[in-house]
Amino acid sequence: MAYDDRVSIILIGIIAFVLLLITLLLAVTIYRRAYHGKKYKKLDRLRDHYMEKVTGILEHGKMPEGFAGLASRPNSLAWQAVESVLHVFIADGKYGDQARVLFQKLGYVDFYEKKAKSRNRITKATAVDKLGKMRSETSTGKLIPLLDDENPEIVAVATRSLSKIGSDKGLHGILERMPKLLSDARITRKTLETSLMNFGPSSLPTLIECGERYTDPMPRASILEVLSNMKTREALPFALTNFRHADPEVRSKALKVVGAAGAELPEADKEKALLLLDDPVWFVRLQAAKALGNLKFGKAEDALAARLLDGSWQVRNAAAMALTMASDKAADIFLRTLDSKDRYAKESICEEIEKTNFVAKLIDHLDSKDKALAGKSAEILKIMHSLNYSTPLVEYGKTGPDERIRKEVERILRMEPAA
Amino acid sequence: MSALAIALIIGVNYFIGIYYGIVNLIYTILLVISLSVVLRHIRRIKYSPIKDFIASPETPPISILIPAYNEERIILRTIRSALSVNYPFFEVIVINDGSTDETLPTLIHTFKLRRIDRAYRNILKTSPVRGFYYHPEMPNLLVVDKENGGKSDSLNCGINLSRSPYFCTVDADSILEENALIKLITPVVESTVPVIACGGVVRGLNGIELRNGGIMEINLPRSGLAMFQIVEYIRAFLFGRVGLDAMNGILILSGAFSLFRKEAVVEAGGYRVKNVTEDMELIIKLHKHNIEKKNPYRIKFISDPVCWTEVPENLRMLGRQRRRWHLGLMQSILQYRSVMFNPKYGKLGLVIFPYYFLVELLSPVVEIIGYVVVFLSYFFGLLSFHFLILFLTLAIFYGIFLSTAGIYLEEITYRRYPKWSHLLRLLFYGVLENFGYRQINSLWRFQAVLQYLVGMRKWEYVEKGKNHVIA
Repeated sequence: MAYDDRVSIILIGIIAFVLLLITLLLAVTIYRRAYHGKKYKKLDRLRDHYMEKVTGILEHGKMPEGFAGLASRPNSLAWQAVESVLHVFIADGKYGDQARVLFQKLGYVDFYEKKAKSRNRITKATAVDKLGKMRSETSTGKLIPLLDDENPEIVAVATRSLSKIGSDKGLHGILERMPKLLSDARITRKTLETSLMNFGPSSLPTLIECGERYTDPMPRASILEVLSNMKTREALPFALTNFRHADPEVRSKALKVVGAAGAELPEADKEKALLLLDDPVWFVRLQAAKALGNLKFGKAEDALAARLLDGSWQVRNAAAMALTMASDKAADIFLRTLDSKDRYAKESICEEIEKTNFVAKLIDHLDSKDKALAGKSAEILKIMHSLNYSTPLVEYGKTGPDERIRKEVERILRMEPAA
Repeated sequence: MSALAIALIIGVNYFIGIYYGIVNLIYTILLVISLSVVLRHIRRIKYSPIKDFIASPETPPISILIPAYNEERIILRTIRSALSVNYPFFEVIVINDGSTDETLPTLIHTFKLRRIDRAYRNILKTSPVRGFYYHPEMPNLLVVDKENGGKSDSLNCGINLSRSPYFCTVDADSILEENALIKLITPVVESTVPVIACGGVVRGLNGIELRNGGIMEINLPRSGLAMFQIVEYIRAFLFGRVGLDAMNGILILSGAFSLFRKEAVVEAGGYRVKNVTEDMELIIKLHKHNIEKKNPYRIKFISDPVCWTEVPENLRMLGRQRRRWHLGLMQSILQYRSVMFNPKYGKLGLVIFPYYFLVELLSPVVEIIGYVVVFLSYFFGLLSFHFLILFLTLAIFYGIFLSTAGIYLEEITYRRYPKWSHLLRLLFYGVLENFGYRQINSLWRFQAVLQYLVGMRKWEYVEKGKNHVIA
């Protein structure tokens, strides 16, 4: 056979093969759409059917004898329909306990517990997730060992499932392993913290107890982060003991807890937070400023004023914000600080004065009977205008209701702002 | 004809044949990888913790950055869509890049914005900022007005203003799906290796019915040109990028919809203002920077979250867009040529960069030369009509196979186009795009190469917003 003929035959062969692939893909795509269309229609019908049936069983108290009619072959359409219906009841909460019993009785729990032993990572993770969604408390013992899995995906899903089940045993299982999980980077802190939040306020004593036990700063900081989101006073003693912790993250998270729930703390404890305004680490100072702002602690004024000139702009902003929230003497303090040569610090203050709407107070004070206050307010507004923070003045000049204040504002605006 | 010319033409013929074979082999490998990755991803979605993260105070805040230049027709729907995403903590920063139309007044009027004064920290150097606008009752929307400096400059400005650890870039003509952001952040939060950038899928918005910034009904456009692009986007996003992502080899995340870790971007110096496409340059820079610093990192592409963007419906605008994309690809690759075949950069230098250079960058050049040479060969009697037809048939059939495979992937995974008529039209245009559309695309990309060589490297403006009624 000639060379050209051989090449020609090879090319025709390849073309025929590609054509076959195209035809196959077209056929499979169309067939799949038709098949799935039919399947999901049937599944929808079955869901409606079982929704009615399960509602009847639950509302008429026919548990447990009524469940026999719900049993079906694992993974069949009926099985899937019943499963999704029971999940609706669990999410709804009204018949959550009964739905959990039904999952158990109908064999779903056994089925997924077996699947959770699969070697295939995705099958395993799917099964573990289902057990969590079913709130299967009896599966807790089987899920805890999965926290020791080498694969981060399995660890994350197992942690989430345990948190959904919400048992004490599951919480202990997670907390015991937490330091190692974090140090081995088998789970991210965000995933862990989100899951711990799911355990709710009842988990508080256990969280605090474990937090106190951890010597490693990372899990301790995570526990404090969770506690800060729970906004509870019960966590305050634990937080206060961490103010002098060697790790800055632990200190900053402890401040976060105090800032969130410590409004009624005794002065002596608030003063401990005040000391952290001089912490060498910027994000600890930031949290301290935020916490003191939330606590509205008057004695913090001078220390916060000093932080208006902090090297970190985040701390400067937080201090300015805290002062406007916490202090009656904010005007004095701002005036004092606005006298500094640090332009960035001055801008931070001006920005916060505008953002917190403290500027409206300053404008109102222009007409105050207290001449000293009126003078100080005018002085601050002049400095703001000189730094191009004039928009509120311009707006008042156009539409402000008080004639005398408007004139005063116009007088300030006539001064040349900085370039 | 001289023997030398004949030898040359025959040599080029062989080169093109071998090149074509290798490129298609690479595409086939990417297709197989993508099929496996996408199917696994689909199964994983079932246990994704999206619901947990939507309700969690631990979910990191995100700044959505929307650069806008003369976008008065479409900017409102984009902002409304961004403001209606399902995400616990986010802010929307619109950067008006010195628009000469009514973009800024439209925004001020619609959202009743007030001018405010803010400290501007020029960490990434940008053109001067002229003003900030916001409304106290809509605290998560900030509009910044600045002098014109281009898209990269605007994004740098947005980064300077962002107060979140992550930012997401969204084009002014794009609509985010409700859960797009939470889907994008989930793998970032869950990954034990720091994810510094993460991109989602971009699809053609044309034909879709919108209301109040949300998608009412998914439909396909009437325009054939838009249909070709929709098929093309499906193919590019579902198998090209997914395949490369499996090797941590993504060099392009669409600027229309990508999430970045702010700290990583600032550390790398932000967007480079001089490039005509900003997205690729930044990704390469992030790869290079982190490899050099020996930082563990991942740049991810996820095939699930979707952002819908408007595609051009006339050839002139489409040509401009494609030339710009290819010019951007060339600029970025050549700018970082020191990475190419450099073992110091591992897989990036030895596999990914050569792939982008030899396949993505050079393929239109080889293709256009190929057409010329094959026809010349036929004309000079070096190639029989029989072989000419066989080669052309093979090339076209393989193209159809790739298009059909892309649509098949869409069908077995996300099936965003629900009607039977959608599927049939997609399949039809998947076949049809191989007769003319692909070739003209290659021609535009070839033109971009020529433009680069003669030093014409400017941004070609693409007009948007003419294909939709603004709701």
